[in-house]
Amino acid sequence: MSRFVAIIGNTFREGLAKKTIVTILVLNVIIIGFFLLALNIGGNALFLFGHELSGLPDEVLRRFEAAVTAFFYQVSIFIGIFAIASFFPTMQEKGTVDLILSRPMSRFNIFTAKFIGCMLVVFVVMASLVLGTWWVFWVKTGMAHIEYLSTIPIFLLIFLAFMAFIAMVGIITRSTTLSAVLGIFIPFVFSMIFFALHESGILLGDKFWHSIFEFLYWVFPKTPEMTAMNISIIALEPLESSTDPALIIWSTLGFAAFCYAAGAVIFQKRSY
Amino acid sequence: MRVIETADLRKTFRSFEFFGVKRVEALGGVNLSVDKGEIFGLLGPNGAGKTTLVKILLGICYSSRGGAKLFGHSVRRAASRASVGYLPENHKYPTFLKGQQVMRYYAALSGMPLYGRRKRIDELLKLMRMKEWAGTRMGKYSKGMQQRVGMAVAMVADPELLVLDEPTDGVDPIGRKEIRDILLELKAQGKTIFLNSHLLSEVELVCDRIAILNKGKVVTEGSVDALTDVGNTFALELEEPPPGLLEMLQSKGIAVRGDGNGELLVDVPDLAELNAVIDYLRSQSILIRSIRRKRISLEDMFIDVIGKEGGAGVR
Repeated sequence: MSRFVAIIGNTFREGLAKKTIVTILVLNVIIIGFFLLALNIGGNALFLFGHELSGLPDEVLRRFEAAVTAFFYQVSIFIGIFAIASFFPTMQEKGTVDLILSRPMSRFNIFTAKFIGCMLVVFVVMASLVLGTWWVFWVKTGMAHIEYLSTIPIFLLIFLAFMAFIAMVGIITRSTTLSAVLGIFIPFVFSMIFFALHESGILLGDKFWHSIFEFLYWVFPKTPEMTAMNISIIALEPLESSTDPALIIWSTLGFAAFCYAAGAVIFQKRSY
Repeated sequence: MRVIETADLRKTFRSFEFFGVKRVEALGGVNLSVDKGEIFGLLGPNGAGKTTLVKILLGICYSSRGGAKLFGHSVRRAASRASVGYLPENHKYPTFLKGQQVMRYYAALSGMPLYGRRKRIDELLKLMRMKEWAGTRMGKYSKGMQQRVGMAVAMVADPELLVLDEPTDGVDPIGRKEIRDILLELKAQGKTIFLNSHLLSEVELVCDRIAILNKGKVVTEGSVDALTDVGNTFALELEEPPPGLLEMLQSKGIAVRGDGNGELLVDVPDLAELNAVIDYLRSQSILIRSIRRKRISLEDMFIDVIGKEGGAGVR
């Protein structure tokens, strides 16, 4: 167990040693500080830099939180992928991999501990921002929307799929660049394309292509749907998606499980 | 007790090229065994397969055929590495960690209990003369300093087997001597050491047994004494030998020759014959400064063996 914890701890420390992650944490503080200075409540209205925001304060704040969440998703996933992409390739560098594989620990446990360490880095970065902004909204408006905190588990679920994919690519290619580029293009961009094709139904006329894209839609993580789900939870609005929320979660978890298992098996079999 | 055992160990690397698959045989059936308490040296030219063998023993690389065991466990099982300390040749310790943190990290990875860890780390840093640099990041260490910390990391969990790949690489002469002394001290404690080094003079000073690997095969194996022994040839160093002494001894039927450094090399069938030569020299009032059994250096033996095998490298 102590070996497992040691790898998790070292991965977390490796994350903190990276300038990208330190920069994100500094940006988090700036964003929290920005809301602390900009947001105020007066009478029955919310003010942003002294300008009144139209609507009831509770509704306005929920819309505001939903907009902030949507922005977080777009930016955080991009930055997160770049920040995490190097972890698995670095672990496999000559001279580093020898030191870790020569310990009395199974390769599956090494892979899992590294994976958890990466997720822990993402959790700290994400949770600090969400909890920080939530606290600011609460302090400045007196309204604590617990629904806003759903951003943390939903974001982590999305990132679980991305992390598993990045880990798999990192193990196969041992390249940070490929891990980052493929990590953005394959699960992030493609899931948006498949979502758009699925929702619009423009391929319904062509059975062959429709079934191909429907298959891919179900294989890939449901990033846009999960974001929409999060926003609808915060805004207390019904989910605008043709897919069942449970299926959204399960298919995203399925993608993560497949990539994770593939990465672990390849790591297990490879000679270094 | 056998600590290391390999049986017909083979490794073939495959690389995919434009015109098909290229196969390189790194190990072609290696049979080796190392007993508890030995210092075993693995020698060989570049590309002989030494590092591949070490990597297979430590589960870093998998064999294509054959098997290997550490402490009786197959090397494919993590349990076989429960009491192994390893210093790789081109190690890369996390540069963002300080020397002391690196020690703590690898101590934890080796399964060392938390109790007593700090004391052990302090002792080893002191032993490797790195105590005052314990709070400095690895990224700022020189090659020699990294090597010292690497040695300390390898020893941190007090392993029964130490696998050291070029342990004195980048270390100054005093440091080399210190490392040699540490290895001998560990041997005295009953630890087993598997040493992979190019510095034949160092191997000669510390190893009990050696094996020479060439083109993926063990070409010779044995104790250092046996491999460097050239038979009953003795070197006699004389104080002011008289002119014509060599011819005089040869005329008496003694197989003697000069070694070019002022010493007499005497080939005798037994000690009685050697003593007869000494008696004769003394009867001629020739002063003998020293007598020693003649050996060839490990380096000469290595060059000779590799030369006969037809050079270095993998096939």
